[in-house]
Amino acid sequence: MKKTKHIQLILITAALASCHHPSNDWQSGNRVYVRSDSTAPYTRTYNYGHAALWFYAFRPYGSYYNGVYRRAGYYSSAISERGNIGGNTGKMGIVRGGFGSGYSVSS
Amino acid sequence: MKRIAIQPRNQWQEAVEKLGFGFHSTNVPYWDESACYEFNMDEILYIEKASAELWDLCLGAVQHVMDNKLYSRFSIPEAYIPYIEKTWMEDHPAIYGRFDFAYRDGVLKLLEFNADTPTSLYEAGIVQWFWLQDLDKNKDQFNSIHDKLIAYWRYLKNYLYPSPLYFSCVKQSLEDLTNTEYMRDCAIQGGLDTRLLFIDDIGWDPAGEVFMDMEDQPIRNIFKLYPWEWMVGEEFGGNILKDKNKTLWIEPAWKMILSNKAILPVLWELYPDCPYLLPAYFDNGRLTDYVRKPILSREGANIQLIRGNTLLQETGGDYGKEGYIYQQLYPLPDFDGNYPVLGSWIIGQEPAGMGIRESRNLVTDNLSRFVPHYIV
Repeated sequence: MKKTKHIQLILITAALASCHHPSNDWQSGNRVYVRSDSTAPYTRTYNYGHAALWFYAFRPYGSYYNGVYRRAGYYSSAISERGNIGGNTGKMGIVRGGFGSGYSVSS
Repeated sequence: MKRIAIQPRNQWQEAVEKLGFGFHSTNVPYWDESACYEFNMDEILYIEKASAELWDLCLGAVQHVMDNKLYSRFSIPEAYIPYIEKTWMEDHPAIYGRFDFAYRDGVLKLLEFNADTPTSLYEAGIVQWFWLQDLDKNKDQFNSIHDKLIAYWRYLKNYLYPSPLYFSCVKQSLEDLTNTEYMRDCAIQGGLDTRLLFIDDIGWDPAGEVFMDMEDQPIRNIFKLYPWEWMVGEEFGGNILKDKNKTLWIEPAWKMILSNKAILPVLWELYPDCPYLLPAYFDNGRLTDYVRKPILSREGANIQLIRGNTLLQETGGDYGKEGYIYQQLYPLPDFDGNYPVLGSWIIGQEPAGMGIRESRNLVTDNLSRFVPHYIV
């Protein structure tokens, strides 16, 4: 046989279902409105069981300062406060956003 | 190889969405199970053998490029050359690549090698496997992608730093996220500690000169579904050369050589007797029927197909400023107006499976459809 005998997916099924959360207001092409970071491995909320919860858990929040939006963190009590940029002055020296000018790598 | 028209599964959209496959359709279906391809085992063994041999030749070609300092042909910035060579000499971990083949009249020819950021991994490894389970569990498929990914991540674990392995891609693309998360799924099953970190969330600490995650923890191992040519083209990429942690980027920087279409003339120069290669050059002087390809391009952009003095087809796009290569024209087979290209996966060092994308014309572009296959 040339095929895999058995396939188990432990991460992707539930996580990606949440990314296909339809929304008339926000839907545009294949854009994804889930946000996560290193403090929020999907497995942390794996047992929530409903895609909408994923959607809200990883929704970002932020504020405007002098007309510039600064993302401060994510709506999720499961995410470590250390993952939120907002109130931690010790993090201000870190430069982010340097990569990411491309849209998709599809090849 | 036969193209078989079949009845799609009832509510196939629901079936594939349950797998987390959310980009099955755009304006037109991308996942297309109204047809499939049938292969016999001899054909599959031939594709497998060709893929294994080409992988060996590709490694030889990388060494040749380095030995002869051919980097300018690849439009690789000079500042990155020592780093590229270091990743090669130190054998930094690499996990996958996808050869794209034209297979016609029993002859297989390499069109290009997607060695850095190949996509359609999830479709090939998972979606078509589950499709076949529904169609006929007893049928075979050239597809051990899932097994081989898990096994190779398990193997690579010993070659990574004792630190989490990050997985990164752009935020805007569900296709990229799906491929990346699938890869992470396999790494988790291989026993690795993983994190997801979107590419523009990667931080740089200018004081400590290390890359950081969103918790300001250092990044030492990272899989990125983001092309090297973009990374070196962005100012932020220069930090890779200063990085005190010497982070392992997967795929490694030496894949910049193989994922560049300039490798095609190099392969032809080195191995003109290889039956799977098409004549390819850096100029069109020796070819009358040829395809002009930008050395860096994606999704069939900026391609010209020339036969004699006639322009058969041309695609638009923003690529080409880095230069072109010229490859002998070898048209894809025509199945009633459907033109399939075979994507043969290398996982670790081995052929691992195949995915087929069909287009309505000779250039496989971003409107191509993924069509499953089986073996009789």
